Amino acid sequence: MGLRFKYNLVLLLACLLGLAGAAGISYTIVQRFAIEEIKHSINIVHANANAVRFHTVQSVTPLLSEDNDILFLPETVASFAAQSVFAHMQKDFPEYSYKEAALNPTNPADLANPLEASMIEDFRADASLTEISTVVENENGSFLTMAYPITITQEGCLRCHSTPEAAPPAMVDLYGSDNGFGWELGETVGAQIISAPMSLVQQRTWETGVVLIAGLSTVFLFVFAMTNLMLGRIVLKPVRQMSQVAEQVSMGDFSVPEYQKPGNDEISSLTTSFNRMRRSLEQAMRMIDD
Amino acid sequence: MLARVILLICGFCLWGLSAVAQSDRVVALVVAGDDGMNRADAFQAQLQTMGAETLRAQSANSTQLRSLLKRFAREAADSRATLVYIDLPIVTFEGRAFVLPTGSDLTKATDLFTRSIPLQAFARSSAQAAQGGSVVATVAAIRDGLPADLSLATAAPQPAAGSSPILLATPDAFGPVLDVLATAATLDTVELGALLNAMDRVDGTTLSDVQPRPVFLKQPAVTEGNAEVAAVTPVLTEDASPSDGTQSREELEALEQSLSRSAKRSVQQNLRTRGHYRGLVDGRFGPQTRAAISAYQDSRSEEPTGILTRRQLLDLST
Repeated sequence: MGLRFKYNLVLLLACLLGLAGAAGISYTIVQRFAIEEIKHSINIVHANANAVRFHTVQSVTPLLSEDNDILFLPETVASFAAQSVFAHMQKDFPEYSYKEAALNPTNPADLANPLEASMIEDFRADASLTEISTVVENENGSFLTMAYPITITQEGCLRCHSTPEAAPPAMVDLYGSDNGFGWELGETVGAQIISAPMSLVQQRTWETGVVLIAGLSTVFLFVFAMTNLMLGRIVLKPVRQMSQVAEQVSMGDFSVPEYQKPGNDEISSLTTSFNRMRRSLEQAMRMIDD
Repeated sequence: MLARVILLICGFCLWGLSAVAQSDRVVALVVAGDDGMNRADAFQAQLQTMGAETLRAQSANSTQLRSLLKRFAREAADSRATLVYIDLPIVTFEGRAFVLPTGSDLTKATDLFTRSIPLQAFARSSAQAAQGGSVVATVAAIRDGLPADLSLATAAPQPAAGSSPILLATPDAFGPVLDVLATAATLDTVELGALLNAMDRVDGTTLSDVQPRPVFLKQPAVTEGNAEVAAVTPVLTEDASPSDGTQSREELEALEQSLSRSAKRSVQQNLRTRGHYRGLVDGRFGPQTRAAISAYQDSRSEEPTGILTRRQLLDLST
């Protein structure tokens, strides 16, 4: 087992150990970052939805509700506006989903499922709660889901959501008189539910992990090559030559030329000492012969 | 039933005294999809014979049709009578009827709310005319299947306050219905209620409601006779007025919604003359009109409810 083999074996083991450690530590950190990053994206989706809602209530609804006693335009409904704008956005970001779930929605398509209902109940129980984030497992995999409460803060909302009699007649023509009534001021009636698949987190973690491992491996490989080269030039080659000279000298052949490694490192001083020892040996032998 | 008859009589009498800002146009809306183009053309031709101006929507998508409907409602408000002809698939969901514009494909029942237009919206638009109007609809066949819970409408919807009667016909019934219209078009006077009743006798048609007031698609040349009707009918309703005190709010709201646009205009005009109302005489009872009615009731030392009783209505109409 040569010196180079021993050295490389130890180096390889150290590299593997280092890589494993780095991968383990980076996995937990990167995963945390990936979750933070996806939460940030969800926050952007939420802010966008809120902007659409605000714009609709401020600018679109007053413009289009003049004829509410004849034809009700769903475009004037904040929730419809936010969800249809998101439907277009989803074409570019198919992994995200946005829903405005309510316990008693005007459009039954917005009815909260049991999980959403439980989150809405949490919001109703604790008014200071502004968001809930949770990981949901279902048949399509696991999802990072964030919920934000929808609370009735404006008197104007109740025009369409208090009683069928008070609502615009054309709205009742459209949605009927059974759903979405009886809301109260200050009540949390629903929640904005935004989800992204956890596979996104895994994907980010994997991507970042691969980059990290690849980087570390390149560095190790470089170290490997460089140290091997230097090991050969500085240590192995002079030592091999010296051992060859020593071999012949020990057999009494003093005809081989001296070997002197240039420089002033330990190996060089070893060759100097060795040559001096050879010369001493040679003199001693000559004195014996005389 | 009795209440309806009283309403009818009351509406009848109020119609007579409605000369305020009355336009003499008859406006029609003809809406058709690809399949119903020929039927719609034939219907439109008959309306043309009667002298109606027609707004035509051919294969309009949902948004275009909404926009056209709003435009039609504005035109209707400036007309004497209206007639709407729809030749599109009409589906029922939870007892309400929805018109499916061209290109509105449904994947689930609730898509109706955003991609279709309630049939009542057409009936409400046509009711904007001074005398009123009605909707005649042929339920066109649907090309693709429908989601569960949905089916093509087979009968006219329940009557709703503030909207005009709706006659629903199967495609097979269109020929006879058109014949009725063609026959009427040759006459000098075409009264919509009678026309609808004649159409209703065709097999495969249903009518949501009787026409509460006479609506003339073609007006007799001399309109003086109407004034007599107005003069006579108040006597009839005078008999009914002792029940004033027991009228519930719902009944009064129904009475108010049964008024034609021109009757509402004349009420507003009278409130203006009495100095209670400063708003537009547009036949729409908004917050200003409510305040004016309350002020008027206050001036009579009666409870300011903002909704006219039959007695007050009669006094304001003379």
